[in-house]
Amino acid sequence: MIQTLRKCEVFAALDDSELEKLASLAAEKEYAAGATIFQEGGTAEECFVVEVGKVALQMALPAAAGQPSRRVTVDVINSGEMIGWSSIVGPYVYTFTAVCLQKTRVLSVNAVNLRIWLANDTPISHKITRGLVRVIADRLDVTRRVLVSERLLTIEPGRAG
Amino acid sequence: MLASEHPGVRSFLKEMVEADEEAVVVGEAENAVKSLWLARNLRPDVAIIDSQLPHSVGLDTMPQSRIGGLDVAQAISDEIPNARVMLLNSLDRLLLPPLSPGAVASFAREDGPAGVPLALRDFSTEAVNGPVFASIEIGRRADASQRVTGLADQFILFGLLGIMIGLVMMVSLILIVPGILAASLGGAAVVLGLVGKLTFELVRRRRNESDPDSPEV
Repeated sequence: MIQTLRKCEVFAALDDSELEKLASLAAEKEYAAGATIFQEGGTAEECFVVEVGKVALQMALPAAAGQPSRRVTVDVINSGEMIGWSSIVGPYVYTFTAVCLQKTRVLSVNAVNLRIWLANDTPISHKITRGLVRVIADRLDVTRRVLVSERLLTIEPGRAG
Repeated sequence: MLASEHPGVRSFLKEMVEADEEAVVVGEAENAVKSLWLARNLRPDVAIIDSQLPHSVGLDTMPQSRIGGLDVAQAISDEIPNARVMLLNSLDRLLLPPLSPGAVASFAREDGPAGVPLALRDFSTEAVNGPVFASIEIGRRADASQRVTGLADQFILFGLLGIMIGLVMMVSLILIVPGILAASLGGAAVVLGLVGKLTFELVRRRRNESDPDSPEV
């Protein structure tokens, strides 16, 4: 469990004792292919580090009149990466839906207890926040690129590619 | 219909599908946009989608763009209820060197029992809710080599059984002669089985040494 947390960019700056404390807040969970780990708009109380498997992060696009609603995958998360950072950053609402593309095992970290720990320990909070900012920036960059490509596609309706 | 960015993967999938004489590939797509367009127009019974499908072609070469498979699989499932959608993972390994002779490829559910293939004919009539996540498993067809070693194993097994029965009969002091006969026959079967396996192994090694490119027997 500690090895998996150490590989995750968000927690890479933590030392062994801090990782042990973090591991005490975590539990392993398994999901089948196609299972939803969390839904966009849901209350964010856990964050997850993928141990084994692949997870697609999807956003719901608003449906135009007469058009079916669509979901767009904005990123695919692999082993060692974190999802559910919204559980650490207010307003604690998931901004994506996480769908397993294959059988997946994750470490689920209780974000409520993690937030309490961060609120009472400034150095830890600083270390984790730095890692978190990098992850969020990367995720936003990928999301931007994917949504730009989607926008180009909607400009040319009916195009078969 | 088939959807994958790679022509080689599409050919591979087409061969797998058309191994069933009653199945025919009605369309192929190299990106998510075309996949959805084809599905809407062709209304296939089964749509096989590569999870690493790009949203569109020519936009960029970012690996992050190759993530449209799940979206189009969900869209087809939502818009065309009669279509069964299979979302395939790890198709990039099909770009590796061709399968060795005797290898057999089959579809398998990600959450299904190991070693049980997913037959397209059954899948096309199955009641499903949303895309089915699957992969391709490569196995080996039971060939002559396996049949020979299987037969040798059976000889050894029944031979040992015969020896045990023979010994029991001899110990009983009533059926000594039949017991000796049973044990002798059992011993002969074991020896035959072992000789068969050894001979087969020696021939196989000699063949592989003389021609390293020959298929693994």
